[in-house]
Amino acid sequence: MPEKSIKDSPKPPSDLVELQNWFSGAVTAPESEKERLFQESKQYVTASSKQDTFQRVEVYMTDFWPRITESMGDDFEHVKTHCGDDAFNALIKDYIAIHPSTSFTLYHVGQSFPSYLESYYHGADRAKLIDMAHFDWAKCAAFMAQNRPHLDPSTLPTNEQQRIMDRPIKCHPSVSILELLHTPPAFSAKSTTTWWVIYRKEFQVHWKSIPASFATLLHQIQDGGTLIEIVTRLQNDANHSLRIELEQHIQTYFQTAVTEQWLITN
Amino acid sequence: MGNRFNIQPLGHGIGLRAPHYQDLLQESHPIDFLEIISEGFMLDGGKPITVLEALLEKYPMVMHGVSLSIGSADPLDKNYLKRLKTLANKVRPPWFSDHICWTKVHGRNLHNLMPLPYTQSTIDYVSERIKIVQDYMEIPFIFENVSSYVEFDASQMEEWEFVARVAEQADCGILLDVNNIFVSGFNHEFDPMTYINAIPHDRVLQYHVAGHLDKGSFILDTHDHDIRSEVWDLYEKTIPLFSGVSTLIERDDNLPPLQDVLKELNIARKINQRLTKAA
Repeated sequence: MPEKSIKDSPKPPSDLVELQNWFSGAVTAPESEKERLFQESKQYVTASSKQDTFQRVEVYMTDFWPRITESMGDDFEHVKTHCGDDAFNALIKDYIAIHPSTSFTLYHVGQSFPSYLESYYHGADRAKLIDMAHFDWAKCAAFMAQNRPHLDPSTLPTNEQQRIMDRPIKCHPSVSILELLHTPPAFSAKSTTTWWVIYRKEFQVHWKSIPASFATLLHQIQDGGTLIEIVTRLQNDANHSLRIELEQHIQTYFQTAVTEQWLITN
Repeated sequence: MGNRFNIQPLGHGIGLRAPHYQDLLQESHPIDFLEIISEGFMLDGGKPITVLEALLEKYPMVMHGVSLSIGSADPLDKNYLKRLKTLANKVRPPWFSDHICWTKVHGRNLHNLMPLPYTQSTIDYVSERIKIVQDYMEIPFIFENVSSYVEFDASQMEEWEFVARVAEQADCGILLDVNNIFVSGFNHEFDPMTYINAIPHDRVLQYHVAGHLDKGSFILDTHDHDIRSEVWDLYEKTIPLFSGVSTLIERDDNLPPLQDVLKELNIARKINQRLTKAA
């Protein structure tokens, strides 16, 4: 049956548009705008015997930012701990000014935060903060990623097990591969890059350190293909030392990826 | 006397919240139905989806949304509605609900339930949008009256008249939140019974009963406290005026153990039993 279509919305009344424009601006306004809003609120809002017009609007103003910063604090726990409450809240206000929530859920509000930090944050702790943000968001993404059955060769019929090399595989949607200069969860600085997989297993979010060659393999798997195709691509693309390392460990890597439920098959 | 939609009441239920997942999955409880916050289950995947699927085997469910933004000046969000319908196809609720409010404008979600001006043009606009949503979803829609902290100068009528007229014009149901009427009654200085008496009696399918926080000059609808005696009193006065209505205990924050929520559910059940016997 064809999917039912959704009719277009009617045109909103102009006074409703004006009111919502003003009210949304007031609710999200910074502290410095108070005096202006105090005057403007008299045009739109009725006072009660207990509260003047601005005090009534203020109930919504005092609700907006804590709701956003608490949600972001839950999602970016390492960033928040590192910054402290006040600096974190200020950072979030700057972030929301550029990336307001456009989703139906607060679960999505932080999705641009790591890239925002890359573009706009220039503090001395920039590299550490960016690592933390990528790590924290990868955990959120793993939590809410699509449910897909992971590749489990033991559950395949015997004839299918023998043809495992021919099956197209990909990384599970919950898998993120990160390249970090600081080691989670303490985020101590390292002299060289380390590679991490953040993933969901049995509905718990985990993370695991992996060698660079394994990260290269997983990146290739993320692009999809059969194992033979993936290995062929690696042989063409990887440098000599990486190729040698992969040849030595590919069986172990594949087994780890299967055991940790990082793979799916179409 | 029943509701005009000929929908059987579900009884007495609670909101499904993550801290209670294990308890609900492992044990059987005297709960007639569960209400989910729709948006929490409109994600691509994760544990909530799996828990939902398991609990659907044990309990009837209804869906309650917070981001439909039926009163927004923005066009209806078709992507949101498609996700909502996908969820409804899984849950198969007898009705679904959201709030008569707006939550976003210019695509920016404020993640709060903003009140509307009570005008004829708003009634026409919101009613038309409810019809569109109800037509697409193909299940009855009921809207909840919100707690509010402002009254707009532009309003031409009282909130209860607005609620009643939207429900009639859109031909939809009402989720009567007794606590919200109490909260708004205090904030806007009206008698809650005046509000409740004005609601079309055959359009109410569900009640919400919840706790709130008294801030002195206003009351905040927080859902993080036990239900106060004044709200139970109002609930008791409301029940005889309607029939065929399901009751939901709504607790969102500062969540106590499931057994404590069930104690409040039992209070609601006993009030209903007592009033039914008396009638």
